[in-house]
Amino acid sequence: MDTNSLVEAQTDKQRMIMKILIIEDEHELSSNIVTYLSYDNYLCEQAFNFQDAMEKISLYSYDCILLDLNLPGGDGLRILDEIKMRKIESGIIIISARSALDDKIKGLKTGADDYLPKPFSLPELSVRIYALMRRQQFSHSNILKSNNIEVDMLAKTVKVNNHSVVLTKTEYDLLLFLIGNKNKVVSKNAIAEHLSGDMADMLDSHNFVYAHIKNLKSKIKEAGCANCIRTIYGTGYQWIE
Amino acid sequence: MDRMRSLLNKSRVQFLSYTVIIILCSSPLFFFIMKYCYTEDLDELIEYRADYFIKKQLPSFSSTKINEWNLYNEDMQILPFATSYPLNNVVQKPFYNYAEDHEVNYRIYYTQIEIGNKPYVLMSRIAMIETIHLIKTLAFQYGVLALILTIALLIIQRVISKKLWNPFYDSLNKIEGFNLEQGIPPQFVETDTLEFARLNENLNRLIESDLNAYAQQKEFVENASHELQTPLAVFQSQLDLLLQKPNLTKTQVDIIQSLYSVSSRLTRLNKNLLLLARLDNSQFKEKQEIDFTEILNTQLFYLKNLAENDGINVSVKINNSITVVANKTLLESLINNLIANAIRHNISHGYISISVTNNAFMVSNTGESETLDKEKIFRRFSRTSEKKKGNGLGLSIVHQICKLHGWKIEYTYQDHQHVFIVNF
Repeated sequence: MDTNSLVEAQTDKQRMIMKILIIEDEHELSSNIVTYLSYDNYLCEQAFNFQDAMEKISLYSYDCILLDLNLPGGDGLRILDEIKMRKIESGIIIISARSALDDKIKGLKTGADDYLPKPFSLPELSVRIYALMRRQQFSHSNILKSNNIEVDMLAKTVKVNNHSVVLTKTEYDLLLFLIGNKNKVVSKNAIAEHLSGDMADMLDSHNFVYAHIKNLKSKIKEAGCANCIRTIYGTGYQWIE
Repeated sequence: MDRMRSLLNKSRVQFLSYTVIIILCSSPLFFFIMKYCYTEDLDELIEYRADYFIKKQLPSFSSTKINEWNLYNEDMQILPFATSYPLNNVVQKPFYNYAEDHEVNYRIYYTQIEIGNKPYVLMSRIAMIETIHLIKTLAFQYGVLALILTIALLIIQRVISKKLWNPFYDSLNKIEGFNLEQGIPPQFVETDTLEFARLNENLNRLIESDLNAYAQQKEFVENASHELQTPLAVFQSQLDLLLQKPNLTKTQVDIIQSLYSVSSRLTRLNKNLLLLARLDNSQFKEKQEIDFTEILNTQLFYLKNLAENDGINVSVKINNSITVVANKTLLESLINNLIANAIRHNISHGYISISVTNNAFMVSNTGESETLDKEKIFRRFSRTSEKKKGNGLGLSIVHQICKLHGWKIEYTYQDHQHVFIVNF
């Protein structure tokens, strides 16, 4: 099997439907997550309270579980314990309000795979799930393909039409973020937060995002990948596949 | 306003002045009483002498002895009878006194006697101490007495006052040392003075209600910002979904963008409030040894990026590495806030210089305003400019973080630069 067909096979696998359980008591937030994720190949199920969640976990298997810790009817951490006890191999992302538990939760990272404090942007959540799914199911694959772009996740290099493109760290992160949310419009705020973490909300980072998008666009366009990034009136950006 | 004086000092001064006034006022009275008693004494003496002479000497006395008697008894003379003498009454008269060589007041007693059937007048007299001598003597005696009395009274007053006011001073010192943020109520000593017991009781009640109110307030802020996170998450996710709608117009997108800005401002404000509340509630107990320069470099990667996008020049000078014992999250927050502050309040094409020397971390920047109010800058919501980007909590967070770790933060304005220095 040559390299190309290997990549093809993996791409096929990536198109498989993934099952996600959203354990979150806030109906609106839960539904918004469902709506956003269902643009992709995700099949979402919801649990709004502790008992619901426990029941679903024992009956079905999921590729990924989003877990809010503050649930009516019980402590979310007990669900985490249950999952670990049953040796369920789902990826787990804790989505919870930032609280005094912060440090404790970070300690629990051994139990959960990721931790996303509220409020978060949906593109950020999506890209975290995407990354988690890649780690979980295609751990042997380090190549991400979209349009005529190939990203080697291990070497952190990018090729367009088999020609290397040199990107800065920030541009590389930006590219992955956009591809991770392909065909969806990602807001400038979400990008800024993804790129600079806590600093994003301290400073006006609009120029910053604009500058990096501009650089990334011109670099991949030069290499032969034009019109991959669509700009929506300077507010949102969309990776078109 | 008058110079402040201590309670004990004040009472001592007042006590002393009243004592002196009383002593001075009573001194003439003392003089007159002494003088009266002294005169009475003299009068008694001269009357006694006259009586004694009449009883013991007169029966055997003859007129031939008169001259001889008068020669040896200067103060006991037998004079020829005359009606001009005030008989049987003590009077006061000046006479020449040989010893003093001038006239001196005498007390004199005249009485009628008969020697050999002839009437005579017996004069008995005694020289008085001169008034000035009396005053001098009295003043000396009285002065010594007054001095001893005053000193004794002062010592007694001092000892008693000190003992009496001791519980008061104890309470005073303890309230002075009381810190609401530390939350340790002072333990007052037991006292059997009713007023001080009342004072302590009321102080205890006040402090307790203060502590309760403070704890409630802290808890409230934390709970409130905690509860706000979920609605904020809903708000943001709605926006994220709205942005997915096809065929959005420019106007619609502009509205979405402005809502995003509001959302991120709310999020930031909420995050900062929560952080402050958690700092106040001392929920960051976990500390570790951290290479400060390493953390600084990590944070600088993003911060430099952001600053240079705003056209601000950043220079970094790290002279030596510092290892600090700190909470990592807080240390990052400290660095971010200080540098973000320097970027936010900068002028266009300004610059920021960041340096690490010995045990200090310094951030200085060019800025628009003149020197800032040192008292106010670390206070919550005290914004010095109308720039809307800041929420007025950044520097109070920095201040609280420094306080928690026992670091010292200073602000100065020199060479047209705002300088913040953290001494580890």
